[in-house]
Amino acid sequence: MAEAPLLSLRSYGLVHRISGPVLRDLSFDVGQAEIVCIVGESGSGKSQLLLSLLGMAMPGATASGSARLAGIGLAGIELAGASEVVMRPLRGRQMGMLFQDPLLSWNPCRTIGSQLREVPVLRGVESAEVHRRLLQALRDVELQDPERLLRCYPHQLSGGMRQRAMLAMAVLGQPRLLLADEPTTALDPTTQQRVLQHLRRLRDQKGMSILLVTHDLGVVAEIADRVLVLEQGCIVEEGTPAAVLRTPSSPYAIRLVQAARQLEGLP
Amino acid sequence: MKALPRVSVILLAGLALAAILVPWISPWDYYTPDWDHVDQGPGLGGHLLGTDDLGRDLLVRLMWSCRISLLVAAAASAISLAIGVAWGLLAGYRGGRTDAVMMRIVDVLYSVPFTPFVIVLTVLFGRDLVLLFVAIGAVSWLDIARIVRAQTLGLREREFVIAAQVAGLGSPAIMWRHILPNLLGVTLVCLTLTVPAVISTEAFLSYLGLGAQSPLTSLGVMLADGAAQMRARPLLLILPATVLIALVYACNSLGDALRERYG
Repeated sequence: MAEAPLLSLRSYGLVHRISGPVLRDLSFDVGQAEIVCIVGESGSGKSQLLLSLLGMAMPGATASGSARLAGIGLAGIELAGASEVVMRPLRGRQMGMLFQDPLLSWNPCRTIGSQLREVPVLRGVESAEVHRRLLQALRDVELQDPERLLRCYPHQLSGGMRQRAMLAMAVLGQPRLLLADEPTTALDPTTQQRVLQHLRRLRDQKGMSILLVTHDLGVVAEIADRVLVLEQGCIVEEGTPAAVLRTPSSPYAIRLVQAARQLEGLP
Repeated sequence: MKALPRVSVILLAGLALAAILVPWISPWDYYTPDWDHVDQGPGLGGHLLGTDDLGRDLLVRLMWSCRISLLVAAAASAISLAIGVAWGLLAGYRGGRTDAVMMRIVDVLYSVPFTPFVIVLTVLFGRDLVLLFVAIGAVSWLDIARIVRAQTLGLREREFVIAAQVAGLGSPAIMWRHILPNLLGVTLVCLTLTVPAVISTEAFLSYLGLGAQSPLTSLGVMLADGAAQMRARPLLLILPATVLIALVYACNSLGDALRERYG
C-alpha cells in the first residue's frame, strides 16, 4: 500500500493493575478505507482494544507500546497513554464507535432526534443546518420517514432501526476511523445484511476505515479486507478472510471455523 | 400500572385547595380576635368549628396552618432536592477521590444532631420562617444525595453514557442531558419521602416553639396551643392532630403509589 496506514499499532499492550495483561504485543495496521475484522472469543480483549484506543479502557488499565493515528500533524498522534485533553477532540471527529446492543446505546428517556442533534451541535453547526443534516444522515441509512423518527423514543423503534440510527449518529461526526463492537450480533440475519451493506458503502463512498470486532465468521466473509484472530490478548493469526476461513492455521481459528461449519450444516 | 389511591388524591387536593384559597374565601383571618365569641364550641356566631381562647376562628386557623405547613414542605423540599441532586450527581459521576470527599462530608453532616442544630440556628439568626426552610432543607438533602449518587454510579456505566463519551461530549453535557433525565424517577421517589417527613419536622419544630411564631400559625403551633388546654377543650388538640395525620398519610400513600410506578 502506497498510502500510510490510518491507524498503526506497534507492540501495543494493555495491562490491568489487578487482573494482569489484557492485550499483549499487538502490531497491525488499518489502512485508509480498509475494513479490518478482529475475531476472537469472549474475554479475548476485543472490546477493550476498541475502548482503549478511544482512551476509555476500564479503570486501572494502562496502555503500553504505540498506537498511532495518522493525519494529524506530520507524525500523527499517539493514542497509547494519551491524556483526556488529547483524546476528547478525537472522539467523534476522528474516531467514532458503534456498539453491540442498539437498545442500550440510546438514552431511553430522550428522543432519537435530541440525541442525534448533539453530534452536529457539538461541532458548532448552525441550528437550521443541523436539522437538514439529521434528515440527510437518516436517509443515508435508508430509514423511512426521518421527520417522524426524530420525534420517536428509542423503545418505539425496532432493533434494526435503532442500530441504523446509531450508524447515522456515528456518521454524523464523519470520523475517519469507525470502531465497531459486534455491531450485528444483536440483529436478525436480514437486518445484519443491511447494516453490513451500509458499513461497506461508508467505506466506498466516504473512504472511512473500519475496525470491526465480531465472533461471527459470516460477517467476516461478507465484509472484511483483512482478518486478525485474537486469543487471550494476542494475535494468533492474520490474513485475508479467504485464507483464514479456508485454511486456518492457529488452533483457535481452526476450532472457530469448525464450529461455524457445523452450525451451518444443520438442516 | 397501579391506580393512584383515590382517597389520598382527594384528601391532598382538598387540603391544598383550602390552603391556597383561605385568604379569599373566609370572612375571618387567623389573627384578629372576635371578642364576642371567645372559647366557643362549633357553629356559634358564624364560626363553623368554633374559636380558641383568644376568639380566633378555628377553621380559618386550620386552613392557614395547612398553608404554612405545605409552604414549608414545598420550599424545604425544593432546596433539599436542588442541593441533593446536584451533590449526588457530581459525586457519582466524577467518582474516585471527588466522590470519597463529597460523601464523607455528607457522613459528617449526617452525624450532626438535628434539634440542637436548629436551636443554635435560631439563637444566631432569630426565629424566622425562612430559617425553618433553610434548616430543614439543609438536613434533608443528605438522603437525596446518597440515593442520587447510588443511582448515578449505575447509570455512568451504561452503554449510552459511554456512547455519549465516545461521541466527544463533555462531562457537564453528559451529566445534564444523559444522566439527569434518567434520575427523574428516583428523584420523584425521594420527593415523596421528603415531603411528608418535612411536614412532620415542621410540626415538631413549631411545637417546640422553634418554627412559626404567633400570631402566625402552623400545625405545630396549633398542636402546642391545643395541648395546653386539652382537658378543657379537647377539640383544640384533636382538630390540628387530625389534619396533620391526614396530610402526612395522604402524602405517604401517594408517594407509595408513585414509587411503585416510577421507582
